[in-house]
Amino acid sequence: MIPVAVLTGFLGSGKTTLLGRLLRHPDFARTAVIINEFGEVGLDHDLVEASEESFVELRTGCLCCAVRGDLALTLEDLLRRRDAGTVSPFERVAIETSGLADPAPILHTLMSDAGLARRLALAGVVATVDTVNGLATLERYPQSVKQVALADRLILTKTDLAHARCADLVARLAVLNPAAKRLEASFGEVDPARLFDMGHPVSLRAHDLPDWLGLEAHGEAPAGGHHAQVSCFAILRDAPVKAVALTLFLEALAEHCGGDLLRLKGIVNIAESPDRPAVIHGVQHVFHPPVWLDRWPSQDRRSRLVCIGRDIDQAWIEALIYAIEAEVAEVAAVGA
Amino acid sequence: MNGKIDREADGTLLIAAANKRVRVARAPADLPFRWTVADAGRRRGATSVTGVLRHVRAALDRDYRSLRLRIAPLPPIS
Repeated sequence: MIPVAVLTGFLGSGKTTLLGRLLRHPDFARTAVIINEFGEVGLDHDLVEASEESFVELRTGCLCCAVRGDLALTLEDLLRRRDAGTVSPFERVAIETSGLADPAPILHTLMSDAGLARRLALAGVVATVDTVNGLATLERYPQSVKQVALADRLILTKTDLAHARCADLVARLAVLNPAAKRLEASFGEVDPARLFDMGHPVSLRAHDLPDWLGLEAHGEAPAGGHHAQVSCFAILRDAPVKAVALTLFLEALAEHCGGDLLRLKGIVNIAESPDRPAVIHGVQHVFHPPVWLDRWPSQDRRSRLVCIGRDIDQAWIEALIYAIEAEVAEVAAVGA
Repeated sequence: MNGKIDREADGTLLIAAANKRVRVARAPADLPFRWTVADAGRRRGATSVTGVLRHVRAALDRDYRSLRLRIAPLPPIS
């Protein structure tokens, strides 16, 4: 599987600088790059040195709304050319979104296209946040909030310019997305390996789980952080959950919160599979099939769901799962 | 959405919101449903809590458009 990293971040937050640094690193030379630029005159692609044949610029519009189909076609074409040997055998793909893009539809494309899913695996979402203007941007532009909320890695850029104000921004990011690992990049300098080691749920191993869920670094239960209607919280369940209850719960979440459910990921103790927990991961209404781990990562066998959403009430989510579980138990009791 | 929910002695829920009143009750035993959801003289059956939720939301939220859960394709077995 070829890992795909989605690089997002608001206008001027340092995505292109970061990408340029990444591609100059000898270990990351074999990276195919897709850059989406919004506007008539593309510029970003001129700022990134990459091998011409594995470099694609999408200039027809914003990836999130206009060219989703183009993205799938572009990726298919890249894979076809790689197979034919007409481009270098790239080992990873980086997609740089436009600064105004909502990353969610891009993730949907990567997750839900059967042809792509056979070859490509979403490595994760990296969001750059400008430490000079980041706070103001988060206040003014909902797109930037969503970019941060969806990220697996947050790269704080321009840290050489704004140390004094960095603490406030870090505090805000911790509230908005406590599960995302934060790294600092000065002049785009960051270990490029950290952009592709986020752990796709399909390839997760048991010991990766705490890091992927982000519970360990930020406490057992990220506490109801709230910013611009985006909140992050964790739901813990002591008792195993029946598979049908989990299915109904996810269906109801998708149905009623779909557009506002920015991210849901978690490890679930399924009653029918006590020794092999299920890892679930969804973006809005699109979910990966559960991935079954070989074992529990620790003695802690509670189900843990981390939810990042817009205007989603934690109490409502908890009430929903309780109601569904109660009904499933009631029906099972009647059946018995 | 602001509103009010009252619970009657038999467990029936009365929901008042968006200038509407919705009544959620256990379905009679002779119906193939677990719940009934009634509003504005219409009564619908629901076989599950999630079905009730769907009917209540549709009754109260004119802009409601449900999204269906989509499961991404499985990667190949290596």
